[in-house]
Amino acid sequence: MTNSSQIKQVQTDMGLIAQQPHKSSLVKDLVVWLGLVVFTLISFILGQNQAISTEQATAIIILVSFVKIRLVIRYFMEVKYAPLLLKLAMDVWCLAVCGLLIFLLLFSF
Amino acid sequence: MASTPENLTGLTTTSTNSSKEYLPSELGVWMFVLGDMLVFSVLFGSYAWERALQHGLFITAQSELNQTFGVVNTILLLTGSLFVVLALHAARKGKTKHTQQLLLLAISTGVGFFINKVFEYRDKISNGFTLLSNDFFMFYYMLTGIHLLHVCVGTCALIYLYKRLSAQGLSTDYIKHLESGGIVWHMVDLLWIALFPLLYLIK
Repeated sequence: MTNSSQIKQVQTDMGLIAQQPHKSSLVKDLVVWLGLVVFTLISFILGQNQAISTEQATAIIILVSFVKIRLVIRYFMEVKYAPLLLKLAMDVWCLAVCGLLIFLLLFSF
Repeated sequence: MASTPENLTGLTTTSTNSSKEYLPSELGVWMFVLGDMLVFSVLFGSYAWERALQHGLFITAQSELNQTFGVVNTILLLTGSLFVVLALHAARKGKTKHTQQLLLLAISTGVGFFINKVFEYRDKISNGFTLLSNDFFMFYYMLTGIHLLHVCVGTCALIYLYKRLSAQGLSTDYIKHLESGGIVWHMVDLLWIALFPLLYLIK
């Protein structure tokens, strides 16, 4: 009896652990990380580039940064699998801050 | 029995995808993270506003920054985030040793960020650029200083998670803690992703 109740407890515990949102994939994690590094390098090069206007470069660099932020939120923080309210809160933050920064950096002077 | 990797692995595999939605960590941690992100959005906005008002000064002062420090720190934090993600996956699969190794790697990226930042500050101060030099450097030291404090807190959280794993082993409770530590670490990462272009890249 003791053994049986112990096993049940273990299964309950493990059941909680097992509530992972998705099967982990090393390839997917590496692809997201690689994307983040490539975007960082693209932003860095755009910052040096003289071929496009300062305004265009600024807008692209800020947009790319918020694409990176959303990748971190969705995949690394696992918000992709979270309840809708949290997804919405994060997306609203991204949109609002990205929009505010582009507006202040490009249109307010 | 409960904490053996085999048991964890077996049961994890059979129950994966049993529910569609999953809230990692706890609601309180998310409230803290969202609150912190909100505070930083005000700081970002203040910086952009002041930059619009003093565009010439900000561009001149910004040219004194060494972008290499910024790029290296960005890559360090992104890589640290990857290690934390991999550590969480390893923990969920019951791989204690693997989790420990990945946590150590993540901790080393936090320490690397800190050392790189100290060298950058020393470089700036030795060139005569301090908090009081102008408004750009006031924002530079304030924003990167507050962020560096977050990096230190995040690194301490990872050290705690490493030590706790060594002392007590894996459990459902530990995985919740690891999720919380990971979310805070990723927030530190994403705040830097916004700070880096604002301070170093845009013209």
